This record gives sequence, C-alpha cells and structure tokens, in this order.
Amino acid sequence: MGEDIKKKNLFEVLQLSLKTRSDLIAYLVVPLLATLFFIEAFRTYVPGLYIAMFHVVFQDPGWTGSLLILLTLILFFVPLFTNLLCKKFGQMKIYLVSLLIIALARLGIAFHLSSIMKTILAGLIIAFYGICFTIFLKRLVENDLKADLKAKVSIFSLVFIGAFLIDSVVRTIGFSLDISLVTAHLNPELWSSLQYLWLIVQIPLSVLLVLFAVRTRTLITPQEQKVAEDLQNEPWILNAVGLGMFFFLIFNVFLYPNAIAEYTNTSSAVINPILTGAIILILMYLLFAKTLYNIRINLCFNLILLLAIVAFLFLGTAFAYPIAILMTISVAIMFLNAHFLIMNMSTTRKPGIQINQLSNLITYGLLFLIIMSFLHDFSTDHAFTISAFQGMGPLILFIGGCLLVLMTMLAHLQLNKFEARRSA
Amino acid sequence: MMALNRRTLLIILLLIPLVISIVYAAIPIQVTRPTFNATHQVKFLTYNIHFGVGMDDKLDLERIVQNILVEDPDIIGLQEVENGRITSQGVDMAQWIARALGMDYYYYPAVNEHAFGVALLSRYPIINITAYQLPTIQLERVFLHAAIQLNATYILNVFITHLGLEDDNTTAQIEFILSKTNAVIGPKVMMGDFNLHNDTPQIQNVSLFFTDTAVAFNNTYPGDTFPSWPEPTPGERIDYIFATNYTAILDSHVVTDMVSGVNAAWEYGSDHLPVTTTLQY
Repeated sequence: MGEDIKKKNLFEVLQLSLKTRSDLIAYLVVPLLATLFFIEAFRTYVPGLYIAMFHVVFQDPGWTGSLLILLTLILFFVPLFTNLLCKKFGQMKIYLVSLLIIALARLGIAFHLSSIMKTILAGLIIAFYGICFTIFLKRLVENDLKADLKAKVSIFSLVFIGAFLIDSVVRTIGFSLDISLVTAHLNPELWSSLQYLWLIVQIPLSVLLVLFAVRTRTLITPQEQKVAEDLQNEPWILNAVGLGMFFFLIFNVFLYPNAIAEYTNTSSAVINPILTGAIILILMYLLFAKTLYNIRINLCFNLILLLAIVAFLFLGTAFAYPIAILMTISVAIMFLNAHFLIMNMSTTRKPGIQINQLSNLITYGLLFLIIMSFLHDFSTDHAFTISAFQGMGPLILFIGGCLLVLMTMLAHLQLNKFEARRSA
Repeated sequence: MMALNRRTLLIILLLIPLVISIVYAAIPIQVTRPTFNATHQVKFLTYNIHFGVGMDDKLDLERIVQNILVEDPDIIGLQEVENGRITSQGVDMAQWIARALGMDYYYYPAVNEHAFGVALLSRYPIINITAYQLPTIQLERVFLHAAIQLNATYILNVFITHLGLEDDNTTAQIEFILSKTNAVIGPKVMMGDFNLHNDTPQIQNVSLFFTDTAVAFNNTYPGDTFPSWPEPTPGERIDYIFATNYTAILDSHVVTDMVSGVNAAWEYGSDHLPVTTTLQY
C-alpha cells in the first residue's frame, strides 16, 4: 500500500484520501482561507504601520496613538509562544481559538474601522496565522491521511499557493484588497454604504473558516509521536530566512502585475493573465508531476529566477516585454521554492517534528519579512528621510532574491541528505 | 473514467482564474465622452491625494473617488499617486480611480520605484503626453504635458505638476516649467500642488504668464487647500489651477464639503483639499 502511494502523483493521492476521508475538502479549506486572510492582513498591516512610523518620527498631533500601532510589532513574536500555549491549553484549543481570532479579525477589517483598529486586527491575524501554520503543519505531518510524508506536505503547499491564486483573482476583479472596491455605480451619497459590500462575501468566508475548523478537528489528531535519535535537527534559521525572503519578494513585487508592468514599461493588462497562469502552472506541477525533487533542475530554475530579478531590476525598461514575461513566469519558481522550504522544514524533522522549532521558524520568517519590507519601503519612498537608503530599493530586492535562492538550494541539499539517510 | 472526470474538472476549476484575468484584461475602461460642442465648457480639478490616505490615516480610494465625484470634473490632475507599493496595498491608484470614474488616464512616477507620481485623468481623449523629471536637489518631482482633444479642431494643453519643498527646488522647477509651457502655443491649463503660497516670487512669476483662476473668479483670496482638516481653517493655499486663452471662468473654488450635513475628518480622503475650476472656451 505504502509503495503504491509513493508512485502516485499528488492528485491521485488526494483521490485516494478523499475515499477514506469525506471531509478532506473541508480540511483543505481551513489553511486555504487562513492563508488568504494572512495575505490580505499583511497588505493591510504595512500601510498602517508605515503611516504610524512617520507620525511618531515627526511627532505629529496624536502621535501617541501611532505609538500603539508600532507596539503591534510585538505581535510578530506571538508565534514563539505556540509551544507554551499548546502545553498549557492543548493544541486543539489553541488551533481553534487562533482560527476564530483570524476569522473575526478579518471580518473586523472589512468593517472599515479606524486605522489603528485595522492595523491591530491585521497584526492579530499575522500573529495567529503563525500559530496556525505551526500547528497545522505539525498535525498534517503526523496525521493518518493515506499519503506518504512528502505528499502530505505537498497538500499543504497546494493550499498555501492556492490562497495566493485566490488573492490574485480577487485583486484582478477589485484591483485591490477586496472586491468592495469595484464601484461601477459609485454614487457620492451612497458611498459610505457601498464600502461595506465586501461583507456579503467576508461574513460567509469567516463563518466557513470557523465551521470547517471545528468540523475537521478530528482529522488532525496526531499519531503517537516517536522521536528519532539519529535525525539531527538542522538549523531552522535557514528556512526562516528563506521563508522571510519568499514573503518579502512576493509581497513587494511578484504579486503585483502592475508593479512588474511599471518597472518594465509594459501593460499590466497583459502581465496579469500571465501571472495568474504562472500560479496555476505551479499548482498543476505540484498536482500532476511525479518527480519534483531533482536538485539540478531546481538549480536551473533558481538561476533563471535570479536572472529574471537582475534583468527586471536593472534592464527592465530596455527590454520591456521579454523581461516582464520572464519575471512574471518566475513567480512559479518562487512558489516552487516556497514548497521546498515548507517541505524541508516539515520532513527533515520527522518523526518528532517539534512545535517550538516550527514556531521559531515562522516567527523569524515573519520578522525577516517585515524588516526587508521596511528597508525596501524606506529606500523607495520618502527617501530623503533616510538618505543612506536612497536608491537602494533594487539592491535590497536583489539581496532578497539571492538569499531566497541560496536558502532554497541549501534546503534542497538538506532534503536530499535526509532522503539518503532514510534510505540507508 | 471517474478519475478522468475529476481530473478534467479540477483542471477546469484551476483555469477559471485565468479566464477571469483574461476577461478583465480585455475589458477597457468605459469612458463617457462629454459633448464639448454643446456647452464649450470644461471642468478641471486638481487633487493631491496623499497616497489615498486621509487625515484619519485611513487608506481609502473609494473616499478619494467620492471626493472627486462631488464635483464630477472632466479633466483631473492628481498628485502623490502610487503604483504597486505595499505601503498602499500594491494598488495601481491611477488605474483604479480612472476605472471608478470612467476616464482615460496616464500615470508618471517621479521616482524609479513608482512613488510620488502624478496622474492625468480625462473624459476627453488624450492624444499626446510628454513627461519630464524636474530639476531637483531633493526628492524627485515630475511635470506632465498632455494634449487633450476637446473636439475635432480644439486641442487643449494640460500641464500637471507637484513641486518640491525647498525654495532652491521650486525656483529652478518653476523656471523649467515655464520654459516648457511658454514654448507651447494655444490654450493652456496648468494645475497641481505647487507647495508655494500665492505671494511667493515663484507663483508671481507663474502669474505673469497664467491666470490664477481661483483668484480671478473670486476677486479675493479663495481659501486654503492644506491641510484638509481640522476645520474651520486649513492653513495654506498651495494647490492651484492656472489657465490661459479661455473665454470666461464660470466657477472656481476649493472643495470643502465632501458629504453634505457632515463635518468630520472622515469626509476627507487626503490631507489636501481639491480645487476645481470650470472654464468656457
């Protein structure tokens, strides 16, 4: 049975699992929605924090309120306490409460509350997504799905990337965070009511997340844990840097067809379908390809990614569409790298995957994300405030790209080493 | 057979986003063209949108659009417009506002990475655009020159800018701008955030070649434009609409009432107030 599963692609594994677990779809919807809300939350959080920083630096009227927003940076450290919370209250309780907070906070954002409230809610989503990410990944690896270890983690990668696809669709339709911004019949008098349109979508999504989380809680009941003595814990910082750089590049450039178009003097109407196509391509690759783990192919992919970033940053306008298309297609490599990082962080520690390692990893990944994002933001806007950063934007993106490629390749080497040890 | 069906179904499901993005790419902005020949009037509006962030720190493009719709202008000059930056949720602001208002648009960023741009939105066809980086010793600024076709024979030159903050910057920038505008023949409208009070030598210099429409229409100080809040008096007048070769100024004012019956910070989409002028040609 086990050998048969190994020969199957992910789609076939999912088919098989669906036969034994009728609630598998609901099970997949939970991390899908949680990741989607996280993506939207981060995009809400940065503008709030950015404005608050200026108020505090220039001590504008009411700057103490902005100080409160800056304090939300503490929330990035919340996932560090996952292990402690799980020991005290139990994994399942923490998991369900985290998802409930994510669902409610995302709903709160849709209510167009004050900037301070929106930023705090977004910060809460980021913090509790870190906890959910940790527990979900651990439980997924240790659950009784009829799938081998790699397939299980691939399922997570699938929903993780799927959330970015949904985000891309929402942004295509709404050109922004959510579809409420589509205002075909915008009327100045009705404006304050029309801005709440997204609630029609958001309320069911939040309810769905909570209901499915409760319904599928039994599916992620772990088997008894066995700690393998021979498997040393590899340095998690490698994956944390990789994950941070992945998020940094995705959130600051790769997710925005309009940004790619602006750098390359091309049309975002052309780039957007290519971007969507690239995300679909990687999802299909994960679903239907039987061999994903050839290190030479991965190295070639990553060299292409690096080439795309360099060409995009330094030759963008000179070659316009060829570079814009290369850069956009490279989104698929970005997601493949994310898959390798998630695979590495989950499997090379199996059996006995440790919550504190995963939570450290996601915490530091998020910290790298916020640090790099603000280095980039302050080098590309209001650059006169920090003259040392002036014009450094492309360099910071390039460093992010190099680090991601390096960390992914190291993660792949670790994976191969782990496979070799396991076979031996 | 069942597996094949499920596979096909899944592939179709995955392809739906692609179809959506292709369809959306194919849908052009629906522009409702005004009939210039009927009235020979054009309504202009200049608005520094502060990256879509109001005095309540909320990033809200809907509110910006609502603020603009209070006047429903034909040609708009926007300043502090961003594109694809996470600090403004990655939105292409000019495109988004243009879509919401049903207008043609052109965006030009001042800095390589898309910050601090100006945008032109127009219900009339934009037939030519020239963009310039202004001379600067500080933050990069830009200047747009657009030729807008009002009817088969009437071409209007529209200039949009957002000047720097220091005197050294603005003096050189005004000289550069006037060298470009003076080289153009025909009716001209220049609007934007000049970061200068109307008694400064730089604005006096502009007034040698252009009419300050708000002053000319009101015969008095037309009111401040920055900051938009707190009430009752904003504080500075730094946003202008200048014009030449028109027949009459039918209206010109600072837009202060965004939602009737409301007097609160949340009305205002930006830290600036918009200025509007209606000209007869």
